[in-house]
Amino acid sequence: MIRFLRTGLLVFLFSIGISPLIAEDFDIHGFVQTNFSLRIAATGEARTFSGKPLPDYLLGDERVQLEITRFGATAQFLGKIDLFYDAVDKRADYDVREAYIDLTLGKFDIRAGRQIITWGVGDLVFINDVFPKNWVAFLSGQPLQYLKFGSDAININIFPKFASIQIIAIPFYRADVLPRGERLLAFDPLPTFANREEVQPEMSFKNTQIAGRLYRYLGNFDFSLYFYKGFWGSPPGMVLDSAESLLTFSHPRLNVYGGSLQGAFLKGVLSVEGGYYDSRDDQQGTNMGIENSQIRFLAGYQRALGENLTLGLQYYGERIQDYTEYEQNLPSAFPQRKEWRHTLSLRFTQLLKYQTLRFSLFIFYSPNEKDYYLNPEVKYDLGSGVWFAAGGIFLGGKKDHTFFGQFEKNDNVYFVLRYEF
Amino acid sequence: MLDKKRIRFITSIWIFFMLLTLGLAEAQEKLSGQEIINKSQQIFFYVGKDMKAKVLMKLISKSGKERIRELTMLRLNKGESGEQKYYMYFHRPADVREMTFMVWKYLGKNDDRWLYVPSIKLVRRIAANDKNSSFVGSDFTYEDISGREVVEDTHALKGEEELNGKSMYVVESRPKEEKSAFYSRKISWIDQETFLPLKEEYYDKRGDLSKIFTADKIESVQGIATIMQRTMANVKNGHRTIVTFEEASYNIGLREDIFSERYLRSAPRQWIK
Repeated sequence: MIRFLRTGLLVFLFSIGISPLIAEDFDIHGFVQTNFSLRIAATGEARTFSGKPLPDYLLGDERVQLEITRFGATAQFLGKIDLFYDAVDKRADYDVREAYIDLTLGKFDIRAGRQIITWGVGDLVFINDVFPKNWVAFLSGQPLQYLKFGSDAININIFPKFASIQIIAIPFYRADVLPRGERLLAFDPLPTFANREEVQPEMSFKNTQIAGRLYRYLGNFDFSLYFYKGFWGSPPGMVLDSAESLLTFSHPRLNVYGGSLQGAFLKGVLSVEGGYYDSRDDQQGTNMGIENSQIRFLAGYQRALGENLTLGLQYYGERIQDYTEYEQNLPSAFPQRKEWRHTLSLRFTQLLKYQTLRFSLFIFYSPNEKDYYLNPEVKYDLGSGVWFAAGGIFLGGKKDHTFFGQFEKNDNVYFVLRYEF
Repeated sequence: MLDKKRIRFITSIWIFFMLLTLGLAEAQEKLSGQEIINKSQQIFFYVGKDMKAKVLMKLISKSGKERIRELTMLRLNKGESGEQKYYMYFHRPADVREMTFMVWKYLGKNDDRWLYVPSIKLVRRIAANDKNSSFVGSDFTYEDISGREVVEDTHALKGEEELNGKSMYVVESRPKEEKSAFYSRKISWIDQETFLPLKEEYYDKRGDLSKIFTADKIESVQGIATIMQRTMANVKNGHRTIVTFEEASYNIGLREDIFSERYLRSAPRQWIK
């Protein structure tokens, strides 16, 4: 039903968007891309969840993206579709990345349709940005734009004098794409639960996700307040049925309240963001299958160190709210998490040769969980719309169940070659 | 006695006015280096209440390999304060298409800068303390685009010269703080009529000529002399950037709210086609 409605909506939006295109000018852009990623970690005896040997390639992806836009004075249409062949699973498919119409009406703007929504001030840390993410793409070396994918939503922006207000209604739930032990190996506390399924929130008026942001300049800072009413994306909830050996991934209710500031400070840019994750279906923190309420916080600083050289530093902290209840209700099979997870990150970017050559390094390191994510990359612009990037993703840690440590068998080197037009 | 006194009084007033007029005439003829640069900077970076330009940048390597950047630039002056707002929307090449860059320029402190990345609909602030970094991979620095503050250098008039049949002031500028600029000195040839810089030579810290700016084509736009084509050439590595204004217009009535996150995320189609 949801699928049918969603397809119907997309067809409807496409037809609205395309009908005037037939008569008038529109732009076509896009790219052709090949992207592969080779696992370099030793996997030993490890098997995928379904018992197969781990594939050597995390990615073997060839794709064409077509983007059609039409601009008008008050209305705009954008459609972006990917056609791809996945050589690891040997399948061809398509993906409607974005398809929306924009109405610009003076005092307010409306964007309706499938759209990527990004807000917040973290660098690869998302607190108030609860919109869908593809962590498999991120960990296996796809370009950053594939970390995010579209929400099917109506996005209203109003601009009164005192602040700007953004209100988003998302009737169709799209769950995050998470490593589930197939291509990417992740820690699995319940290997004996051989049957797995995922249940998405039912589509109903009550289940419509609502997100809001109020933002304005506060002195020289960008100030935002955020609100979200919806569901846990990652981590999802778990419902166990021992009789059937069935593990069901669910999406318990979640509210998020938060705020952020970003502005110039001591020659650089200072970013601060915080949020309270209110776990609506586990207010006491006693249900082991549902994530506890949490406080999440980040502070980052970015500045240029020299010509074409920038450095970013960031701290991210996450605290489990009802930790005593969490400890008391944790089944013995589950490794115990710490009350706080501290993560430091560093981003280093050097541009050379008139910015045609870029060296970058991104590191996450958790001093209390002793695990890391490391991503060095080189990107070169060959000119005439052609560029390539090559890099590596290295993950690991002291323990095999921590946030990054669980992915240690997925170290990979990746390559992207793209022609954009 | 009375007459003598009166004559002396009248004479002294007469002499006072003579001197005053002479002094004024002298001042008018001999502007100081500082005054010339002040005036030139006003005309080069601040002319009009606002401005819109469609800009084509050609980035040319020594071997002749060419890359392009095409953008629409909107600029608004905030009254007489010296503060300005810039909005730049990239049309080409494909990998930066629809990328948008916004600057709030201040005097006496670092600017505020924002970047919009269309592929992930991300707006973020970027550090603005790298004024000598290359602007979008060209030979122009960020400072060349929005102007270096006049007070950061000392300016001395070195003489007057003819250049392309026009009378020029030749002004030497040296940074007060060595670290604040990539050059140790800059020589500018400033047109005595329009006060536009027609040529600039930048000397590096060792005293060698490193970059040359030239104004290649000047046209009158709404009665305002405007550099429609300019070149910055790196003498050391043979790379150069030619910037052409494909269109330019002044006083088009830009509103200040254009320079905000709303329009970073969704380009103002009235101005950007």
